[in-house]
Amino acid sequence: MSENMTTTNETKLLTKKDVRRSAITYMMFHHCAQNYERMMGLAFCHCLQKPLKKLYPDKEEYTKALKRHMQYYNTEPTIGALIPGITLGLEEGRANGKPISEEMIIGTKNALMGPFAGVGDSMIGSVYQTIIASIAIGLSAESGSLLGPVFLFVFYGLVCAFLKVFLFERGYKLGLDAVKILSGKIMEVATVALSIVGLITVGGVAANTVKVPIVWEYVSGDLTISLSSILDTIMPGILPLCLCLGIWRLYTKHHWSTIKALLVCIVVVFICVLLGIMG
Amino acid sequence: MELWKAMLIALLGYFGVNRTPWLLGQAGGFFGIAQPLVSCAIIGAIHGDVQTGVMVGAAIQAMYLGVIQPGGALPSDKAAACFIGASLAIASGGGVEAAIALAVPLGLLGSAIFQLFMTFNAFFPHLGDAAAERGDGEGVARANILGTVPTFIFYFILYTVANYAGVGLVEALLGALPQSVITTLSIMAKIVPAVGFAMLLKYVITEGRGWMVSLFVLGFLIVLNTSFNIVSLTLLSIAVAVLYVMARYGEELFGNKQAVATTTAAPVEDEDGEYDE
Repeated sequence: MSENMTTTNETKLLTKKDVRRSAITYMMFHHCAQNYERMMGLAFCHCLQKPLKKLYPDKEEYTKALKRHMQYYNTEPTIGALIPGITLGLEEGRANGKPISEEMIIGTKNALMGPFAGVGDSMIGSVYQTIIASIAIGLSAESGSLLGPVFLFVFYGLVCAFLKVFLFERGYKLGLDAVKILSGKIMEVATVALSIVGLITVGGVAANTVKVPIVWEYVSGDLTISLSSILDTIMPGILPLCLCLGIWRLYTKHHWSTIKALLVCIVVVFICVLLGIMG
Repeated sequence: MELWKAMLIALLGYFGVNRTPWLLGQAGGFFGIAQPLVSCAIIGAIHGDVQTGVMVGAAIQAMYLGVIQPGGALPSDKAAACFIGASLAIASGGGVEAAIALAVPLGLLGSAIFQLFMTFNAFFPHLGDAAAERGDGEGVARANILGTVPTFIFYFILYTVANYAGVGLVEALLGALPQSVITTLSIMAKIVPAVGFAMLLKYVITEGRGWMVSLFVLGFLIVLNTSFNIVSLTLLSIAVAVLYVMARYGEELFGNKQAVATTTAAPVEDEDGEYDE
């Protein structure tokens, strides 16, 4: 180790192939033993174990490295692929004798996983998936054509697989620089911009999907007043919009769970069906 | 249903569980083959009717739009709804209506099983700890891969049995249910997405950005009142995002260029006295 300390020239200890193998291991196995105690912690150590062995030929150092990557780790796996990549970059720097401490590597991991989970869950898991799925439904719902399933598999599944490998390798290349970039203004601007795109588009998807079928009519002689046409006169789609916003209020202000919201909806709809209001 | 069909569907169902590595990991499994559109198309093909499969898939996919799995939670399991519910619905000839009626309860059941596994799997990191203590990297890898074994055993048996034995049960159930329950469940298919979108709003609109909900309303109104489709709406929303970012952060991000632009533009504006009119 002391020889490495004195040499300042950066030697790449890992080949491109090592990094790619590690990235592919991450892509395939990152959720294998997902659990409430460590979440993706075990998988994190799994995908780095081979390159770490190369970086730390000394058994004691290697054991220490394995142990520090067995800790709790959880983030959104697609955008979060950057984090094991960055970590590997840092580990290589450390093995090269750069002044990178154990605490710094663990701290970087822990500092990044929260924000990445937030951005990733809302952008990849929900907004991107919703947009792609709604286009796919559009391609298939009427015709029953196979175009929709293929489109969804390619543009969601395969794109995510590609992103995981790509971002892992990108994170490795950037190493410490990535931390500087991500902690700056860029992350905030990107989050706001993506939120705007997501919210407008998802609003549109909601307008196409959410329906509240009101069938109740007031009949008196020749006079028929249908409740749904009155609501349409006020504003088309007023009930679905209020439903989405109302449930959102219940989530944020009253901390309802999804299960509770679902069960309450079932009961309300069932009562409305029995009363002949919905059908 | 023939046993080989039930087993084939069960195997595909296992590939679609979040934790399996076989189809490029989560990407091709939980994000790919477990998507209702994809899984139901394949299930339809196994039952000899791809088109019905795709129609059923599109209906269930629409139900789950917006339902996300934040931070390792799974509020409703669309895979269980498809690999059991949709499969039985197609096999028993019940089609879209039956599939949707089964989707809601099976989704909740799948979610309960998911949570069971998330608790049980906490066993494996301890195996990994022991290996790491010995400095045995391969042992860590083995502990992680072993994590897929209970998943395989449980889901393979569950999906096989449910598919093999379920057709008669589903036929009996659909025959016995009063019409009001079936109507309720088919209306729920159009209400469940609202629950999903509301959850999405909760995650995208972070603390202090409450004003952003107006953007959701904007998108809703545009699609309802114009002939915009989702792709054109996405492009429009990108334009809105660019406008916002330029107005809010333009100076910070492109400080110099902006400053040059304003100094050259300023005199022109002054000469144009009638600018306001």
